Amino acid sequence: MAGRGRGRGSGLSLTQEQYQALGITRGDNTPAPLAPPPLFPKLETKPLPLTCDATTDYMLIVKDQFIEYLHESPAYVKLQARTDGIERYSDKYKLLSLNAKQGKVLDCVWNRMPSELRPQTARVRVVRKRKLNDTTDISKRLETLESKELQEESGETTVVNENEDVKKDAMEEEELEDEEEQDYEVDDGTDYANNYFDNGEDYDEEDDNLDDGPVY
Amino acid sequence: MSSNSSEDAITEKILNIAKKNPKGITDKDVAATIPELSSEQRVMMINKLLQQGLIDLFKQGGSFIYRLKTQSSKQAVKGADNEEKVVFNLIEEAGNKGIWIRDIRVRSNLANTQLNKVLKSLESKKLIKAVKCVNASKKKVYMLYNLEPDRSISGGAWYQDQDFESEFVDILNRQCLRFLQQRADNIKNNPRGPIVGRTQSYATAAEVQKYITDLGISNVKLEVEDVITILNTIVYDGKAESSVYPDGSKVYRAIDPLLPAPGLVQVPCGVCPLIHKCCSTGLITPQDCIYMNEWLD
Amino acid sequence: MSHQLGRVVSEILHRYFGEIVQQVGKDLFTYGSKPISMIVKTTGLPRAQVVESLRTLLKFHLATFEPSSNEVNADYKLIPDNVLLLIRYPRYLLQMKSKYGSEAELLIEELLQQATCSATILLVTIAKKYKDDEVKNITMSKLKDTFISLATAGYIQQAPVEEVKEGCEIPTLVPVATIVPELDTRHLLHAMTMDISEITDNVYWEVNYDRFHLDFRDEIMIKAVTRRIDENAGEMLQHLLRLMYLTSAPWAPESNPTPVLELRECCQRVAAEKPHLNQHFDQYLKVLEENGAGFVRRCGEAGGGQYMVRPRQAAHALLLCTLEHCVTERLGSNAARIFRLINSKKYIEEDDIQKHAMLPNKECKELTYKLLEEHFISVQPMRKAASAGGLAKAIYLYHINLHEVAHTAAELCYRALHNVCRRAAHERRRHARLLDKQRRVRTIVHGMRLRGEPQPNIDDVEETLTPPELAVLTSVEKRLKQLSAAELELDRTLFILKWYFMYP
Repeated sequence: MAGRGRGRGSGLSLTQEQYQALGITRGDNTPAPLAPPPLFPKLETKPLPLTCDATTDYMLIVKDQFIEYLHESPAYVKLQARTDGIERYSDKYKLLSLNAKQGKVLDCVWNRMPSELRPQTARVRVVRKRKLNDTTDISKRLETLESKELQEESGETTVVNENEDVKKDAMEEEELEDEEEQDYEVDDGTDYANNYFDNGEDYDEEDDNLDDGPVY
Repeated sequence: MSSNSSEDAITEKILNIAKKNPKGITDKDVAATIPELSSEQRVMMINKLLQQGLIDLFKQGGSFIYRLKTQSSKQAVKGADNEEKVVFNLIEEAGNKGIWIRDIRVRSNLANTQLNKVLKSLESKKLIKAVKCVNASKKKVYMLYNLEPDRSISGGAWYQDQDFESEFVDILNRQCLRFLQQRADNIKNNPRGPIVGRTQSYATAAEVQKYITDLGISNVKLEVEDVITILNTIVYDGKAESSVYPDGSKVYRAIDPLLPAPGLVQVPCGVCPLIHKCCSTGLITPQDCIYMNEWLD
Repeated sequence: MSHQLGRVVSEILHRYFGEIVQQVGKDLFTYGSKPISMIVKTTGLPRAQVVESLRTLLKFHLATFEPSSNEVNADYKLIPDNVLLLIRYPRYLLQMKSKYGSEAELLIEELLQQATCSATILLVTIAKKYKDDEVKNITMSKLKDTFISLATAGYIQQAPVEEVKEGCEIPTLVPVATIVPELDTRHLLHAMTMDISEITDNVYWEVNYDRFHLDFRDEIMIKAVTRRIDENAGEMLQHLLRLMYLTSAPWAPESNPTPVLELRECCQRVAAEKPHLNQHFDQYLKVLEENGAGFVRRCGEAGGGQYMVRPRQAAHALLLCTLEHCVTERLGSNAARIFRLINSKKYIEEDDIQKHAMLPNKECKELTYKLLEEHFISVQPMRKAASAGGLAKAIYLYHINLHEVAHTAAELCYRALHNVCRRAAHERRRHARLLDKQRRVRTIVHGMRLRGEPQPNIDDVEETLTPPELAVLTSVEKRLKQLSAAELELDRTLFILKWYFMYP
């Protein structure tokens, strides 16, 4: 609709001379319409007012409480403290808040979870691996060696697991996480270097993708 | 043979029924209206009228029908050439629905230029007129000069010189709705029960027509049918529901929508013209949305 | 499943469970169903975090699992609809609070937080939490009674139990019929004294969302009829719905026939409160049938007449109403007139639209094309039989494919919901530092108050937030509140759409 009005006045058009008398020459009456249309054209209708009453207020409060509860609980999975080489003042606080929750495990009905998600999963998996060894034939020798190595490690892990409740030391927890991680990556047939590389890539990805803004 | 005066009276009678039935009358119709006439006399009278050029004879579905010739057609016959007569007859046949120039050309077998000349000539004699068709603005149809165009051509009360009067329709729409709304609440908790309440909240088209006529906002006479057309727009606006009384008359009742405005239209995105261009990145994003800014401030 | 749904689900997961869970959820949404190792690969997250995220998703019923082909690992699958329900939690609580009082509210709140929980632990936890709260005055016996009545009414149900096949490490969850438990207050009180870990009660409970949704459905229907006729008619529908629960599957498209006699008895029972309804019972029934948007229909003459409730028809009518509102706001009321016209005529030609809608030709065409462009209507070309001249002229019939339009509206809702969540996240991020500061000040002040420190000291701490900072905070809070309220309202729209989709 908007653009169409311009032709209207054509009923009383002026001759070239008259235009010139008015100071309008051929060249300079063009620049005006060159501006692009606005990115956000004016809205023809406004959204209707939000329904907001006492019940809305109640629901908003309840909702915020619920989210707050979740954020405090282990259900909210935090980023592992990583350094990108730049030291920041805030790092110290970030680490503190992260480590405060590190020890807690989400309270679940474990029987109803796949065993690979259960907290003691590391031990179970190693056992399973031994069983599998009997049947696999191709990489049998390699796996045996590997599993021996893992067994040693997992021995440590088990000890740590048992003491989990007692231990509050953040460093130790960190180690545990690392070990587990390494263990799994070996399982998946990737070596440590690969894992390390993956992590880097992941970090880049986050920066590219605005969906996942950094957590401050 | 009876006297001349009685003959004139009979002629008058036949012409009268022919006038009442512009589509034509059959021999039976004549017999029914003037039973005192014998069939012989009837034939004689008809023949006389045909001779005088007062009526036309048509054959329809195996029986003859007689149709009154209009005054103008008599004039046209006088002093017109053959082409004009042919064209005139075609236009006359079309009645108040009119005939399209292309159809005249096809059926008259006249060349375009010649046809145009003939039409011009007829128009200048004020025997025919060109009428713009409302539902196809470029299409012109021809009809006899003295005819009132059919509703399908003129659009009825809603058209002024083939221009749709939307403002007029809007005003009527609002007035009719107001009338319905005044009585709508009668259904709620009516002490005499909901059925009485419902009846009180209903309005027939005739009632609405009377209300509109009394308001005097229309200088055109609005028929009940016109009012029904308007009332139906209110139904399509979702502001009224219609029902039919046992006697077949349509009744209307103002209603509210079943739901208040849904959440979707309470947020800018619900009315946003750019919603389909909105992405997570780029120029149009929820973070930088101007509509969202306005809404939140 | 739609891209827009994926976007909004991802945004919600981010808001509720953080970035990692969001990534895992997004990955699962994109790929359907996959094992841990694959998630680790595509997300590049450490395995431990993927495991943690999966625990969260499973715990809150946001994902399911099934043994993969090797029977050792599990394949995980996101349940996007349940993620959307997170937004609805506040409504469940409101429903409980207004219908059953604060004990029920606390029970449901705790159960939603725990996702699954045994009755004993649930009750003990709540009782412990509110032990010293004298305002609420929560007693164990009241809690127990509420728990039992909620279980009886079906708002809570027993969680599916695991079934483990020999040699398989992946349990299968089997739904069980809920048995209303016998709870002993004395046992519960005894359990209060024990440590939580010592309590052995392995019957687990969860919230039955569906039961709440039925309540919402009934409420919408009753409100609609009340708007159309009056509250007596609304009351009558409520009785009909109650009777429907006794004889029919609750979500059945149409209830089994209800005899008028039973309905009359119901209305007689409330004659004291609704004398008008009782007095004009037959009239109300007739008006409800004829003017109640088709929610109720007479379906037989046996036993003095039989009536049925038609939730499918209700969903249909309410969907139409929602769409009409939507068209009105997006394209104007004249477009809505055309939309309704096309809907009432089923199939209609362009010329006829203009004739019936009584709009100027040009405007009418423009609006019709706009409706077409936004997928509110569709067009069906019909080839006329070739005429003698061989000129086959096609005519174009406009019509509404309601199912498709409903999908269009759902997409629009998802987009809007995503944008609202996204914007809120953006606002939060933009003012993260300030919000954080405010939070810390509040915690400190709260602590000081508890310790009974003098007011001047507290004021000092509070004043660390400068007036300009406070001004910004007020405006941010207002914005966040509005966005949050918008989420709730959008969810209501989605509810109606989902209800409509229930009946294919």
